[in-house]
Amino acid sequence: MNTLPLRASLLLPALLSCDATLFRTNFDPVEDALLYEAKEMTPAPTGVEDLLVINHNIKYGGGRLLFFWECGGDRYNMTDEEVTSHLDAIVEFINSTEPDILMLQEVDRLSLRSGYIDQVQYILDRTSLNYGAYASQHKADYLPSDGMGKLDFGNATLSRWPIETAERHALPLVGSYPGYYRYFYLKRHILDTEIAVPGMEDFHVVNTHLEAFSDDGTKRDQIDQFHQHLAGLTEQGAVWVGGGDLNSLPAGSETLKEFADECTAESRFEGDNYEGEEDWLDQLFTDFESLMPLEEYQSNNGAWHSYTGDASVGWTRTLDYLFSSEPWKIGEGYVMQSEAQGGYETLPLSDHAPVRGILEVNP
Amino acid sequence: MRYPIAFLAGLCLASSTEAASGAGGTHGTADILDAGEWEIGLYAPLRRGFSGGWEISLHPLTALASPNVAVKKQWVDGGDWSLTSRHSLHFPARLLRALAREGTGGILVADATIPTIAATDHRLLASTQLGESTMLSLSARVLLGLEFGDSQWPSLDMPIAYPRTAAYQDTAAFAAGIQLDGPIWKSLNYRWATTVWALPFSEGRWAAESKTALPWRPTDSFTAQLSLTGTLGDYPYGTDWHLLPGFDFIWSW
Repeated sequence: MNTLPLRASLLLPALLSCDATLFRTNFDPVEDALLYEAKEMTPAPTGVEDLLVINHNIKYGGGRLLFFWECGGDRYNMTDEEVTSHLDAIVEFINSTEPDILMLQEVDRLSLRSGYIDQVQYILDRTSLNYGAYASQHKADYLPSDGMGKLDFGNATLSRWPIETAERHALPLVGSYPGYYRYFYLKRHILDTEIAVPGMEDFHVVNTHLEAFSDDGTKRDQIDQFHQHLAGLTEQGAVWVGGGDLNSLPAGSETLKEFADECTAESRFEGDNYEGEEDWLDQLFTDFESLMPLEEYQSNNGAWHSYTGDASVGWTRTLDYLFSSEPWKIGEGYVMQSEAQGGYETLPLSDHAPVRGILEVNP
Repeated sequence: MRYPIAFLAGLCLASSTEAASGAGGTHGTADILDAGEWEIGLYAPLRRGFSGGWEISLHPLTALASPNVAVKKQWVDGGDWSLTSRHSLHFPARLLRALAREGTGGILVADATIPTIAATDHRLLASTQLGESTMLSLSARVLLGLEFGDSQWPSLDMPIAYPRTAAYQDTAAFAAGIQLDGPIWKSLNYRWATTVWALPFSEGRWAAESKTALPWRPTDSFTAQLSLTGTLGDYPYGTDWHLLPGFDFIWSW
């Protein structure tokens, strides 16, 4: 009896049946984020005049290791020692700057590649930040590609004060990818937390990390949705800080492609090219208070660069932003690029530099 | 992820092989195939019964990449209980190396160092009739593994696979099981099997699996089976659960 055709035809239902229960990669359009507390609480100030806000993409505690998907990279899973030494460096940075609100992107939580260390908890337990909220951006019980295995990384917002609500709002998926690819691919989102800062009513922190690769306008749609979310908060009378890694350049960028850190060797990805996207962030700058004044950026792009794929050439482009419903304290907003600019050598910490600003509470 | 169907198929196949291998009428019991009887499943292994109470089986789908063979010998038949032992030997290194690669289907990282591995699986099975139609089976199982050479590869932290591959790197794993087989209605039967794993030398120390299956035998030579396996286990990242639907088709002659 020839059973081969039957065997082949039966593979499809086998795949479908595995899909929902083995990988668990999906999210609801809006769902609660995970909430964290530090093992030991640090008393938080009760009289608050200024809020120091820092945004930082920490590259899942990878420091400056080059991973298999990066130019010249050959690393896969980190050792526990590598992860903790990188996280300790980030903790040292946090403790030296003492932010009130910390917005993080690319935080690993129970991922094989980073030794299953819960990086949100690790940071909370070693800094004066007491509360955290986390939402996954890429989650799979088992990602059967490149040996990734179990993976869970995303955005986290950390605070000295209690987080009252934390919601994960799903952003559009890349439409040009086939459905099966989207199933396993990154799920971008907005993490909206309401934080009980003394003296502030209805204060929200909105944290996001937008699509890096999309030819079909998905990144534009995500930017628009981020804008709509912030505009909605303004409409409801909330005070908010919003930002993250938007993977887009501001208007007036002198370089749109062929950056100094572009890979000249064989690479999985083509070099970044932002041509045609020059005005995608304009509405955010027009409607909200940007930490980075556009005129300042346009007169000196380099001072606001916050990313480089190659530490040896320094920071090469601006991808990380902070906006608010309220004006930022003048002269206190900048990208912490180095000892000379920001008072801290941040190049070894990640492929992104921290962006910091001060918001006046009830000015 | 250029070939998602391939990697999905590979993963589902890998994960369901053991779960679905219970589709055979004698799997998990002290019974063996009659002498000269053959059996093969979509996922279940190829088996043949021999005179003298012997049964030999192998997984043809993975035989080239992971040479394997199992022998089942019935020691006691008749009386209240029948008693059987099953012993298998397999060499999974070649399959693991094939799965350690970049891109789609990379179940293990490409920089993994996988040595030659010899693994054995020894089971003691005892079965008895409860009433007229229900069979109760009890089992005890020891898996042993030996690595030869440098070894640097992550464990397979997924349900079904984790307890069955833990011994490759950690020398030994132990399991005990209970199984009930019986009829429901006409040619529709049930099988309920629960296995508890102890992994004393692994980072994840235990696992429990409970499988409920509905084998349908419309003829003596064909069985179709749907199943649902619930797993709860300790993994290197913590405790986790899964529900895994499965199916298999068995032909015998």
